[in-house]
Amino acid sequence: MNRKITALTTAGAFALVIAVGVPVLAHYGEDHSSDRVMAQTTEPGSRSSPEELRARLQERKDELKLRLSNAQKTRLQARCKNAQGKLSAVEGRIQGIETSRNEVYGNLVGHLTELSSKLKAKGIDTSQLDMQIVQLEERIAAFKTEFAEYKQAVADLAEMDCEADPEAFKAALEDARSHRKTLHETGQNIRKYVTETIKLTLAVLRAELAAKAGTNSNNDKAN
Amino acid sequence: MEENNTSPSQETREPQNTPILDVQPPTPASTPVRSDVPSASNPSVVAPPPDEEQTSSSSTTETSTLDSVKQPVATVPHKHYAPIVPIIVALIIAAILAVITVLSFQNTNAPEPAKNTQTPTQAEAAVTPESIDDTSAEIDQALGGVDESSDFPEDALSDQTLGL
Repeated sequence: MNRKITALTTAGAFALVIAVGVPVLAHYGEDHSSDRVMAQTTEPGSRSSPEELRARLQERKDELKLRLSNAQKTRLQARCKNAQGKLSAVEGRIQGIETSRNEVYGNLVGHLTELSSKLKAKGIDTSQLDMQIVQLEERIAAFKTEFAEYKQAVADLAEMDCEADPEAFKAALEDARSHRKTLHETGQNIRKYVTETIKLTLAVLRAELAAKAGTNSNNDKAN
Repeated sequence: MEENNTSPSQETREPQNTPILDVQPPTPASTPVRSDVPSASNPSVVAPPPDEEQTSSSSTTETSTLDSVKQPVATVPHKHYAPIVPIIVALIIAAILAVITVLSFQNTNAPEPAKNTQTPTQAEAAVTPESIDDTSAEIDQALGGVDESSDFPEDALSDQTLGL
């Protein structure tokens, strides 16, 4: 009888451990799996499955509606392998550009937000600056989206079987060129917005702050 | 009624409550019990209670009756504690796992610490017109670190560059 009780209590104890342990392990499993999903979804440009690659190439072909002549196809098939070697080098540079851009734009927003907080604490109206910070963030977000597509297009170009489907290679190349052009323009627009709009607002706020500081010092002297 | 209170079963379980009995106190199970001692002094002690007589069919002699009563005294506590050990171990493990779960949830859901730890008073004291000049200079410096023409050159993907 005692042995039965012991066996039952032991079984119950292990059941308790399993009941608590399984959710814990499941939680950690979810964490890691979600990390992997994040890595896959937030890193376009990385190697993807053949099905995904085929779908993207087909989508670009459908969008551009390219029709190459036989001579153009033959020329591409003969030269695209060498071009893919150079595209791999471009792909490597893109990674470095992405890192430096993210850092620079992050610093811009960080400096401006910090200044806005300080000015608010001083009683300065920062609504104009805050609105411009939001607009800057939207432009930076658009840049990042465009950059992700550029990165993916170049990665597809370097990865695909260009000899088997020269039209898809040409379509991906045209897509990458389009994104490069847009990125160049978007980067310049961000720079222009900061230097010509936000810095003007900073100059106005500086004058307001200086006037307020002068008023306060005069009041102190009068007192 | 008095005789029922001094039955052997109660005597062995609560030996300190039976000083009036002229009976040898309970001895360990290994010590042999003499059947003539209780019977000579107080016959009522050795006579098992009526209910015990009904339940224990194997007790035919006084010695065997006393042995069967005394044996649990030494062994029962261990048998009661033995099943508790895995329960305590399981509870400890379950508690540790629960703490790990709670801590992990707290870490994943914890908001990022505020970057600006200054109090409003400190921030107010820190900001001056020169602060805005500094921020403006930092912005220029940050923008100077990137160049669209070198990052996204026109000929980066040209047919000539790629050898197409």
